[in-house]
Formats: sequence, structure tokens, C-alpha cells
Amino acid sequence: MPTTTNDSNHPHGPHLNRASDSKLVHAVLEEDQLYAFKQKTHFGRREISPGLRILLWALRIYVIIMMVIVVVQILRTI
Amino acid sequence: MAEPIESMRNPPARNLPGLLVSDNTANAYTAPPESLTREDLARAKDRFAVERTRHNFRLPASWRWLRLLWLLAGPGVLVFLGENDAPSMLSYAATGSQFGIGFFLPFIVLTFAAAWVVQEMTVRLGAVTHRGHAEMIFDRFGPFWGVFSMIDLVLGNFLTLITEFIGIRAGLGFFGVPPLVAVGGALVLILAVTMTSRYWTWERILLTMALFNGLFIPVALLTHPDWGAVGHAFLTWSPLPGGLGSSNLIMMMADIGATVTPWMLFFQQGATTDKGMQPRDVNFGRWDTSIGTLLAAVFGIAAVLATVPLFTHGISAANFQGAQFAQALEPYVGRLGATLFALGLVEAGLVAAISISTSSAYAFGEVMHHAHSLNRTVKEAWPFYLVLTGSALAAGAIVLIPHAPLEFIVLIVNVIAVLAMPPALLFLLLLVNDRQVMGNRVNSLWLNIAGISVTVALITAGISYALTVVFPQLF
Repeated sequence: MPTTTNDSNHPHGPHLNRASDSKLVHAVLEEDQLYAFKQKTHFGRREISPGLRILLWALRIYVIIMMVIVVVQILRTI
Repeated sequence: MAEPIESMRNPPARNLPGLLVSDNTANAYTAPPESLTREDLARAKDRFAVERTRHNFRLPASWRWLRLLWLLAGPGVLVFLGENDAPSMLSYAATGSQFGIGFFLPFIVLTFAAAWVVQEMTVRLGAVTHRGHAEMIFDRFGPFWGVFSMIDLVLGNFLTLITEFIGIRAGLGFFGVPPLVAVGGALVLILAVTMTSRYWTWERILLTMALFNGLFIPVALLTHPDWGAVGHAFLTWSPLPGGLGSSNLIMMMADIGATVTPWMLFFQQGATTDKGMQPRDVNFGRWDTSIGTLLAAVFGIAAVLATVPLFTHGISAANFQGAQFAQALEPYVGRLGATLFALGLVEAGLVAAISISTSSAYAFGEVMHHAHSLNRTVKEAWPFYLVLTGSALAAGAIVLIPHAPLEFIVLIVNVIAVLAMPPALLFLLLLVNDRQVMGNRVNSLWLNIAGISVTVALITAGISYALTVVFPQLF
């Protein structure tokens, strides 16, 4: 078990060192904040219902149409 | 005597059903010391300061609260003062010069209230999942929809970055600084701030720089605003010269785009994660966001008030760019006021350039599964820093190209931001209502009503704008 050599009273907090400070890291960070944990985990895909799919497509088409309109307006302005 | 480290131990990770283990490692994963990264260690150091304060019961409760706010504030203030960027401040300046004191003052406050609703959700999402926005969209909706979001983000961010350098060039141009020196100097400063390899240091430097957004306040005061008219405007939402005509609708779009944009979602969630905020910090995240909203709204309104003399004296500022506002204001606010206005523009461009390029880098790192933390060194996370600095360098270079269509970019950047927001808001609303991701931190009914209202309002604004373009005779 690694031991900590941190000086908790240090005005700027502890001086961290990989070999000795895992105890502190595990005390103050949630496990899913650790880089190694995040590399091993992910949030799974959610189910996209037909209604949601239609909504997503509708908004995508909205953005495309609007971008065309922006270009039209700019061409008119120039 | 400080609390022993053991007493600070956090509760175990929340059981979020949506979180899956990619390999056969047990769920109760504990990283061995050799797997800890510089990123973990730096974040632990910041969290240690937070936990030490939280457990320091010798401090009066109010001091403890203030100290915690000091430690946990940052992403919210930065995102809002970052969004008070060069094109936004120019948009506010154009509003004041074309419409004076009236409808647009309360309207701008309303847009900031809408932005608060949206940004609060990103704080919760980041604090609960410890993941960035792009990563969550890719994980939960798959790469097909994720790529669309990234296209919106990358396009919007790059165009906005260009406008930041236009603002910096114009602001420094007021002092006679040549464009190459202005853009080059800004790039050196951006690189210097970014290369600290420490989130906390980066955040505090950027916060200090961002407070100079307040330079617009003394400029506004130098114009001796008619406070009675300001009060009347807030109470009555009037006058609105020209009614709901085409130019007013475009100005409304520009002011909305000056407040609610996709990069803000990716930035604040990324920064919340990088800072190491946890679910129990969410209330401080809300305060941070509220302070940022308040400061940005006050500074934005100051920019409107600063250019009201141009409206009062009938000076046409419809096609003003950058430093032309400062030059035109000089007879009314003196050399000092004009100087502060130009410096405010430079500050707005610099802070936004750093924030926006950071949001691009966070999103890129999340999607590519590269290290993406400001707590990493350049050597450890070179793709992250390459995107961050590369996008700034490319945007700066474009501004220096002779005859580049810069006015074209300035014209469309805020409008594109508004038009790209509805899909981004839909993903955000779906994520913050997803119990598999958020557990019991999902949106309340009222936040959903507010979030859906903002989305509908943005779509309505977009459609109204489209109608003015397609059927100009109707307006």
C-alpha cells in the first residue's frame, strides 16, 4: 500500500508525486475522474426512437436550409 | 491542524446505469499508482484545496462559502465573458448606435437569461459525468449525429476565431499598431497563456484578462447616459424605432448570437470536467454561471450605452467596423473613452480567441480519445495543443491575407451561431434528461420548460430571419 508523504499543512497544498500520492488522489477525486478509469469506460449508446429520429433530422434540415438562406443574403449584400 | 486526508474521502462513484466498462475490468476500478497521470495529480491538487476548505470548520461559514466560490468559480465567468467577444461587442455597439436607448436593453438581458438556462445544464452534465460535451454526444447518439455536431462546432468556431482576430487587429489599429504586429503579438500571448500546462494557472490568468471586459463601463459613463430613459426602456421595452422590420430582426439575431452559441456548451462542460468539479459542487457552478451572466450582461449593456451618442447625433454607424466606433466616439467621450473602447475590443478578442480555440481542442480530444486537459504538458497531449494553437494560428493568418472576405465573415458569424443552436440544444436537453447519464440530477420540469422555450425562441428567430430574406416585401 503506497504511503503518502504529503504535507497537508503546506500553504499551497501537497506536492504530488506519482509513487507516493495515490492515496491523496483517491481521497479527493471520484474514481470516474481518473484518466485510466475514463479510458476503460464509456457511456453506452441510447435508443433513438422514431419520433426523436424525425426531430433530429428536422433540425438538421432546418440548419442546412438556414445556411443556404444566409449565403443568399450575403450574396445580395455583397 | 488540518483535517487528515482520509476524512476527505469522497463517496464512491455514483451508480450511473449508462456507464459501461469497455473491458473485463471490475466496475470498482481503482487505478494503481503507476497509472496516475499528471492530469490526475494536478486535478487532485486543486480538489485538495477545495476539500480542505470544505472541511475547515474553524472558518466562519460565510468565509468558507466565499473561499469555496473562489476555488470553484471559473468556467461560468469565462464562458460568459468569452462570449462577450469582439463581434458581440461590435454587435452591441451597432445596437446602441442604430437604436439608442430602448427595446434592445431589456432584450439583451433576456438573451443572457436564456444563456444562463442553457449553460447551467452544461455545468451539471460536466460535474456528474466528468466527460466533455462532444464525448457525450458521440457516446449516447453515435458518430453519425456526433459528426454533424462537430461540423457545426468546427465551422462556427473557426469563423468566430477569425472575427476575434479582426477585432484585435482593429482595436490595436486605433493605436497605430500594424496588423502583422497586432495579430502576431496576440498569437504569442495566446500561446504563452495556453502553454502553462496547468488548468488552474490558465483559468486564473484568463479570468484576470476577462475582467477587462469591464472597460466598456467607464466608456458608457463618459457618455453621461440618460438614466431615466434607461429605466423607462427596462420597464416598457420601448421605444423600438422601425418596429419589427427586417433590419431590427437581423439586429435581434445578432444580439442573440452574441449570447447563445454552440461553442459555449462545449467549452463550459469541458472546463467543468477539466477543473474536476463534482456533483456536490453544482451549486457553486450555478453561482459561477450567474456571476458570469451578470457581469457579461452589464458589460454588454455598457457597450450599447457607449455608442448611444452616435444615435443621438444622427451619425450613421450601420457599416462601422472595429476601431471606427472608437474613432467616431472620440468627440463625445474624449481620447480616454475612445482608447478604453479600443482596448476593450482587443481584450474581448483575446479572451474569446483563447476560450473558443480551447473549446475546439476539448471537443477534438474527446472525440479522438486523446488526452485533452490543460493539466497536461504539450509533450503529453500534443494533438490537443496542436488543435488549440493551430486553429488560432490559422485564423490569425487569414486575417492577414490581403483582400480576404473579412466583412463577409463578420456579417454571418453571429447569425450562423443562432442557426446552429437548436440541434445543439436538443442534444443538451436529451442528455440532461437522461437518467442513465445523470441519475437523479436530471432537469426539473421548470428547467425543461425554460430550455424548450429557449429552443423554440431560437427556431422562431431563425425562421423570422429566413422570411425577411425570402420575402423582403413583407417586412
